[in-house]
Formats: sequence, structure tokens, C-alpha cells
Amino acid sequence: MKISLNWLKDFVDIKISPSDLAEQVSLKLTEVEGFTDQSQKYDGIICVRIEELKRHPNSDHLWRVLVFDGVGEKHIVCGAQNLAVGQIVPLLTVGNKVPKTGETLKEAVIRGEKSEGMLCSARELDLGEDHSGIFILNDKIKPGTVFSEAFGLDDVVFEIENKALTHRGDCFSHLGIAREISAIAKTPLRERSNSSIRQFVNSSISINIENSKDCARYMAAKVTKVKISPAPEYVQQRLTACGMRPINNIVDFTNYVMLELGQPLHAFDLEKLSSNIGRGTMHRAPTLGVRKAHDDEILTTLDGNTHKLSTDNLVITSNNTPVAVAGVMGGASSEIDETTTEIIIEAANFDHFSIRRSSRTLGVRTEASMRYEKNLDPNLAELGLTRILELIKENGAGECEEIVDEYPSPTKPIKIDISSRFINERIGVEIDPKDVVTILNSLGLTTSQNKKGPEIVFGVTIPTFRKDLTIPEDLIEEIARIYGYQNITPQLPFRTLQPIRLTTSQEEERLVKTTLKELGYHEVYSYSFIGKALAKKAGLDAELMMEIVNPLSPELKYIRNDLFPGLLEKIALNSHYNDHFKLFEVGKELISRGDDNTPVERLTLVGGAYVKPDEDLEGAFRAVKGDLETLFSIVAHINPRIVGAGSPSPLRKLFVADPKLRANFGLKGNLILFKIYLDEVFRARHASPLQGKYDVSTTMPIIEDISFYVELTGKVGPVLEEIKKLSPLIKSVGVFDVYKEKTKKSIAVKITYQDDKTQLSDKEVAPVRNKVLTILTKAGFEVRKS
Amino acid sequence: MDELAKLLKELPNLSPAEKKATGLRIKALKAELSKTSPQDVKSDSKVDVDETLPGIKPNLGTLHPITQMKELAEDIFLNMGFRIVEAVEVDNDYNHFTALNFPEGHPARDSWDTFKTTEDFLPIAHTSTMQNRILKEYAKSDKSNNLRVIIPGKCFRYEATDAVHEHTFYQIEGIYVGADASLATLIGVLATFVNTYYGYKIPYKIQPTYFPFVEPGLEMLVQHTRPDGSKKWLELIPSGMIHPNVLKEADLDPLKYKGFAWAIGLDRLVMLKYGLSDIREFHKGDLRFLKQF
Repeated sequence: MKISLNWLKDFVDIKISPSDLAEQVSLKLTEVEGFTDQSQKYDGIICVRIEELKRHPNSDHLWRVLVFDGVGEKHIVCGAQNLAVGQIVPLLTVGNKVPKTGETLKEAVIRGEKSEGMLCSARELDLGEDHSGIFILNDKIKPGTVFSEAFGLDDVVFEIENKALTHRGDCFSHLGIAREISAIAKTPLRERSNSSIRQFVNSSISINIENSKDCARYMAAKVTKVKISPAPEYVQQRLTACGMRPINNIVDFTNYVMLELGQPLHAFDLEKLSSNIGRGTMHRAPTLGVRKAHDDEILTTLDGNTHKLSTDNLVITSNNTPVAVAGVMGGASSEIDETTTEIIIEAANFDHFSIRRSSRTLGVRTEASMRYEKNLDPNLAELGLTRILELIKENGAGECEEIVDEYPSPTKPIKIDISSRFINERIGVEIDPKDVVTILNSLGLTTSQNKKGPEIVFGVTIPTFRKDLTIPEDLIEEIARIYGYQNITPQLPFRTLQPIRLTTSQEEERLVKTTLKELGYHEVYSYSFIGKALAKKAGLDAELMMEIVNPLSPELKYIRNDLFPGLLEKIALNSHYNDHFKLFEVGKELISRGDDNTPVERLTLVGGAYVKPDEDLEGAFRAVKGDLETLFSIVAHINPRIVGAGSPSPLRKLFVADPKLRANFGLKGNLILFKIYLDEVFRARHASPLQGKYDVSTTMPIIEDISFYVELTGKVGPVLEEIKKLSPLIKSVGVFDVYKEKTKKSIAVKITYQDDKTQLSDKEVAPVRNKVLTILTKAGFEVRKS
Repeated sequence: MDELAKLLKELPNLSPAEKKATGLRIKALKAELSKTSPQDVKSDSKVDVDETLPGIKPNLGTLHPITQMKELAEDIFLNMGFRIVEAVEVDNDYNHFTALNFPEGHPARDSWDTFKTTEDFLPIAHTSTMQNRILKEYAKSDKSNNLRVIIPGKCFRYEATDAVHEHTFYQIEGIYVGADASLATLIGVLATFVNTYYGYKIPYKIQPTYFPFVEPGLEMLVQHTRPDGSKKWLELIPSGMIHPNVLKEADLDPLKYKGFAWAIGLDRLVMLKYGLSDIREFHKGDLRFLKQF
């Protein structure tokens, strides 16, 4: 929202600099995003008179313009076609910035002709969108006058953030911001003296409000003898400064009052409103109504768009025909134009929920709807109507004939009691009751005080324009922010010495990540959203996933029920730059629905190791398997033997990506993938206590190497498992060499025999050894003689 | 060495006490000077090792920068007595809005830019979606202790992605309920956090802001110093006193209980810490980026 400093000064004296003001407002009301000093923005632009206009010798559309700048003459080359000798036009001189773009103008030679500056269009001046010709000024302006002075652009315009004011309908106006500044700067507020308009109230215009919940108040003024003309310059300048386009006096006045006081107004052409009554009855005022639109109704709004309405839209009707979308935008059929002589000015109060719904369903958001959404004060309608009638009268733009005011249950101020103890406890500092009163009064709230024991109870009357203040906590904010958050001494809460630590699963999640890091894995983060195509590439069906109704793009339409697609995408990306790397992600898979259809999230670990095409795949696979065995033994103290390919548990998967999967992701090398559901690991961990056999045996082990041949496709693992179980004397069985020949492979294992209590002899080991050989032979392995 | 020898000759001229002290110091110096460092040995070495070749580094992995900073932030709050509860990724409208004093049709809902699933669930747009659950759980407990919880979570907003905007981002919610909850203690907790996180007293300021679930609502800004030395205020932690309606909705009597809550934007915290300029790198998974952390 744009706020003009000059306009604010109508209501409050401001003696501090714009940057100090911005800082103060940021600290006590809402963020001021920045401000523009218009006189700086228009630096180097002067008003010049066109003395001579000649065709450019080398162009049929360019002009050579000779201008007088009050001191001397300058030659300009210009392509605009709306110039004439004697006109006063704005000239941007060399070395200064174009207001719209901020680019610095350099001296130029255009088709062989020197140009000592640039004549500007409205768009280049950032005063509108018109770029069809040069912005022609009033010919009474003396050549050489600084443009910003001539056009009243000596203002400073603040850009104020709206978000923090969502609850402050009263602040969407210069009056509202001025009131805040008066409280912040402790300077009195000059409210407008309210000349009464009650004398005009009559009931010859009839208003039908279908439901007063949607429309708490509807005021309408009939103004006759209307003379449509441009609005006075100061009105146009202020509207322009605040980003609104001047149109004509009546429309500009409605916008002016909205920006000044916050009350949206709308002007209907009365003659056009009455046209549906039929000829001959032209001057009889139509019956106005406020109701929900019917599902089949159609309305063309002022912007030229035609809308199909629904019961979500509140409309203003004239003899039951919609003529405006209430609180959002007027209809084109009753638009004010140069021929307008009689108007109806609407100053109404619509329900904020209704307006929001209406504006959202139409996809139309306007200055008016934005204000109504903030829950405006119905009493503001009268203030707004009074002000526009004043402007109309002052400028001879028409005469108010009568006013109708439909206001079935007037909004009255409410009262909130708040005690000094409540204030001090919640703010955390002792605030002098005198300061409390000063602060509240400066915001336009009135106070009474009662002593209740050691406490003071303030009875605070809330004016109707502060509809956001309904509970004592709301007043805490008012007191604290004006008192100044920087004046509150920070304190730490008290706590006991009770220690806090991570939960077991939190500790283990961290341990999983750290261990993987130490094992050489890089952690990646993926989006939780995926698209159909990516899911398909990974062999998944997106249709089975939760679907987003309003995705940013098709690639972000589903919520993943599997972490693999994201990981695969990242492996594919990195395979372009690396030929050996390992990645992992810990995230949530949305795996199923609970009883009430609530999504169930499962903490999952996925990982992958990418290796070059020519790298030994079995070796790579065993390396990843070894990583997982290490991970499990560190994190869960689980016997690593339970992990492995073909493991019966569906909760842990370790596999070599098949060629199709690799092809889908354009991977030239090989890929080993794994997935582990962490909650299962954590559960396993809980079941296995840390207590174990930590004593080091004093006996010497007997170590024996056995090598044997196996068919190339033979699986050794299960046989080794069998050997391990053979006898308690077998401490461990390890593979220390795998050598592949053309038709078979040679496997070398190291078997360690040991008894913790007594020293074993070869004699005792011999029978176990024989059993080992039997198992190997039975498995079809050819034991090599050593 | 020669200098030391000269000094030794001077010793007899000193008083007995000085003699002893100076003697000891000379001895220590002598020991220090006569030590050989490993480099000195090399000329004698006959081993065939080229020490000038670069070292062979172990293949260590990396943790994502967000994980690293999340754990740092978590540890700071753990030390302050806050326990950690993980946020959900997808939630219902009640937890996300209604329980947080956003009535149906409230304009503040617009600024959350939420995604919605076909079944009307919301990929969470803020970790505050956990507040009602945590507060309710506290309401059911004996409440002998203050409630101190932080909730890290992955959040989602309908926002087009560019260098400084992401539809997926991370927050750390904090909730405190206790008799001494006030604006002063809220500011105290947040200031302690940012000072500890940055490792020095970083300048900060507090500005008013609006969220339906707090009253008053506060925004903490910290003064970020860019590499070129210029300074900028950055909005870092939105916070506020928990709105009485939110307490009521969680079965806590707002006349008896009060608290405060905040949400830290983790991505921004990480970007500031490392001086990163493109938020999109976080989800790209490019090792050329990740290996630097």
C-alpha cells in the first residue's frame, strides 16, 4: 500500500525525516518496505516550450524539435506524433534517470542528429500506462520550471507492507496511518470536522437488503446537476502518487475518499440505472437492492470482463437487475461518462467473509474488495459519504439532493476491562499506569480507571473503527508496541535442572546419518512432490499417491510414497560429473491411510552407490552390503548377518538396479540401491540391550584358510551360514578372496576356531574341520588341496 | 646456542635465587632448541617415499547443510530445556488452520498459500500445525513443568521458485507455556538463540506483525552483514504470545495458562550462515554443491 507524506500531513504534523518515520512505523506498526522521494525521482526533468518542429532529414517518422528551457535552446530528436509548436512538455536532460526504468539518459546521436535530452511520455514518467505520445503539460507553466514542482510531485511516497495489517481495516487509509503516527510520535491528530449530512436523509430512494448479515449498512446519496470534468490537480496528483489512475472528477473523488479514509465508494449513473424502468419514467429513482446473485446471472464489470455469477457473489441490484458486484467492482452498464448528469453514490458496509468469497470466486481483487475483506466499520460509511459530498460541493461538481441510510442495527463501541497486573505479567515489565492511559488515548481509545486492591483496572472503550480489538490480549499489543518492544528488557524463563536429551529414535536418526557420512555417503534432500513421469521412470504408479489439487506444475502433482524417484534423479544428475559416488536421503514416505483416511508417514532411508560400467559389480555390491552391515551394527547392534540380498524382511531391501531402471535414468554405470524403514531399525535396537560379552579371550585361535571352486552362478552365502552354525568352536567365517576364472570362481575363506575358556588343539578341531569339508562338498563345491 | 652459552657464563654474577630460576629457564630453552623435528630427519632417510606428493584423503561423505544447521539449532534449544517433536508433512485443515484461530473464510488463510490434496489434506505450510496437538497433550498432563517443545519440519507453500523463493522449506517451531511467559521472556529466548547460533551478539530488532494464532504478534529481524561489509535487516523469526483462542481450543484455560510460540525459517538461517545466494541448490542434490559443507 502506498501512502503519501503530504496527504498524511493533512492529519498530523510530521517533523522527522522520511527515513526516521519509516523506521518508527516499522518498529511500532508494520514494515515500511521503502519510500520514494518523488522530487529525486524526477531530478533533471524540466518543463520546456516547443519553439520549432521539423522533420528529421534522415527519417520520415522522427522530428527535430527545438525547445526553450527558460535559459537557452536545445535540440531534441523525438518520434512522438502529438507535438505542436507552443506546447509545454517535460524534458529529461542528459545524465539523469528515466523515472520509470531508472536508466540514465546519455547524449545520443540519432540518425546523424544530436539529441540533447528526451521528451517523456506518461509511462516514462511513471505516471500511467500511456505511451502513445509525449505527456503534454498545462501551457501556463513557464519554460524552465522544475517538473516535479510544476506537477506537484514534491511528495514522499511510502510503501507499506499489508500483511501485518490483515486485521487492521482502519489502517488502509491515510487517516488510519496518520492516527498511528500521532500515537507513535505523540503529536495530536487533526480529525476532519464532520459537517452533518443528516439533513439530506430522506426515504424516497428505497433500498432492499436481503440479509443484513451480508450488508450491515447501505447509504446512498443522490447527486444532481453533475458536471463531469477532470478532478482538481491535487486530487489527481495524490491518486497518481498512490498508484491510481485519474479518470474524471466523480470517479477520482470516490477513490480519493477511499485512500483518505478507507471507505470504498461507488458512483452509479442514475439515468443508466433507471433505463431498465422504461422511457418516460427516467427521473424516478430505481429501487436498489443488496442480495446474493442467482446462479444464472451475468454481469459485465467496469473492466470490460463478463462474469457468470453464483450465490457466492453479493450483488447490488437496480430493480432487481444486478448492476454491481457488491464491494468488488461496479457494472459497466451504469458507468459514469462525460454525459452523466445524475448519480447515486454508494457508501456501504459489506460483510468481510462475503466479499472475500465473492472476490475469490470471480478471481477479481480490487482496492475496494481488499478493504472490505478487512472487516470495515459501518460507521465509516457515513464519514466517507460526508467527505465525498464535501468534495463534490467544493468543486462545483454537483448538488446532493437526498440521502438514504439503511442501517438496521448500528455498531456501538465496546468496552474491555484490563488490569495493570494482566498488562505487566504479559509484557514482562512494569508499565506506569499513566503511560498505559497515554498510549491508549493516543490511539483514539478512551479509558476509565478503578482501583481494585493493589491493582488498577482500566475500563477501555473501543471506538468502532478498531474492530480488531475485542479481548484484553489485543490491548496488550497496543500498549506494548507503542511502549516499544525495544524498551522491554529481555529475560530468560526459569527452569529446573532437569536435563533434556533427544529421544532414542532422534538420537538414532542422527547416528544413522553420521555413520553414513563416515562411510562416504552424501546426504541429499528431495521434494516431497513428484510427477507422473518421474514416478513412471522409477517403476511407480503416481495414481496411487496423494494428489495435489493446485500443483505448481505437473512435476509436483503427487506426494511421494517412495523416496527412490528423488534419489534416482539425483544419481542421474551426478553421474554426469562423477563415476563413483554414494548418496542417501532420510525422509518420509506417505505410505498409506489411517482409520480416518489420515496419511501415515513412514521415516525411510534410501541410498545408492553408483559405479563405473567397467567396475567389478560384485565387489561394489559387497562394499555397499558391508556399509549396511556396519551401519546396522553401529546403530542397532543388530547381528549384521540379517542384512543382505534376498533377506526375508521386506523392510530392508538391497539390490542391484536392473538395466531398465538404469536406462530410464540414463545411467551408463551400475547402481546398487537400498531402502530401510528406520522405525523398524529403531524398534530392533530397543529390543537389544547394550550388555554383551566384552571380555577378551586369553586362548589362541586356530586359523585355517580353505579355498574351493564354485560354479560362476553359485551362491556361497547360505553355505557359509551353515558352516557358522556348525559348531560353537567356529568363531568366524570370512571370505578373503574371490577369483573368477572362465568357467568357475575360486573362493578363499578364513575359518577361525576358538574356545574362550580352553586352548584348542588340532585334534579337537579336526572333526569340525571334516564336517566343514563335508558341507562344502555336499554343496557341490570343489575343495582345492592346499 | 652460542647466545645461551654466553648467558650461562653470566650466571655466577646473579643472586642465588635468580641463579636458580635463570638456570632453569636456560636449560628449558636449550632442550627446546636441540629438539629435532621430523623434517630434519629426511636427509638421513633411505626409505623410498616421495613426501612431496599430495595426501590421499579418505572418502568421507557429507551431511546436508540444512541437517547440520538443524542439529545445531536443535542442540541450542535442547540445552535451554526444550524437547524435540517432529512435525508431520501432511495434515488436516483443523490442525493447520481452525485450531489456530483461523476461522473458515478468514483472509489470513490467503497469505499461507497452501497446497491441498484431493482429500482436503494440506501439505503443511507452517510447523504451527503441530501446536494444537502439543498443547492438548500438555493439557492432559499434570502440568507440573513448563511446556518447552521445538518442532522442526518440512513445509510447503504455493510459491514459484527462484533464487530466493522455494515451495519447499524448513521451519523450527517453538512452544513455551509457563507462568513466566511474557514478551520479555519471549524476546529473551529468541535473542539467546540467535546469539548462540551466530556465536556473537548479533544486532536484532523486534517489529509488530500479525498472525491469527498469536496476540501480540512479533517479528524478529537480525542485522546481516554481507561479505562486502554492507548491512541489511532480515526478517528471521516470526513469533508471539499464543492467542487465547488457541489455548482454549487445546483445553487450556487462557486465564490460567499463557505461552509464546515462534517459527524459525531454517533455510534462511543456513543461507545467512554460509552466505548462500541460491535457495534452489538445497533440493538439487548436486555433489559439486554438497561436498563443500
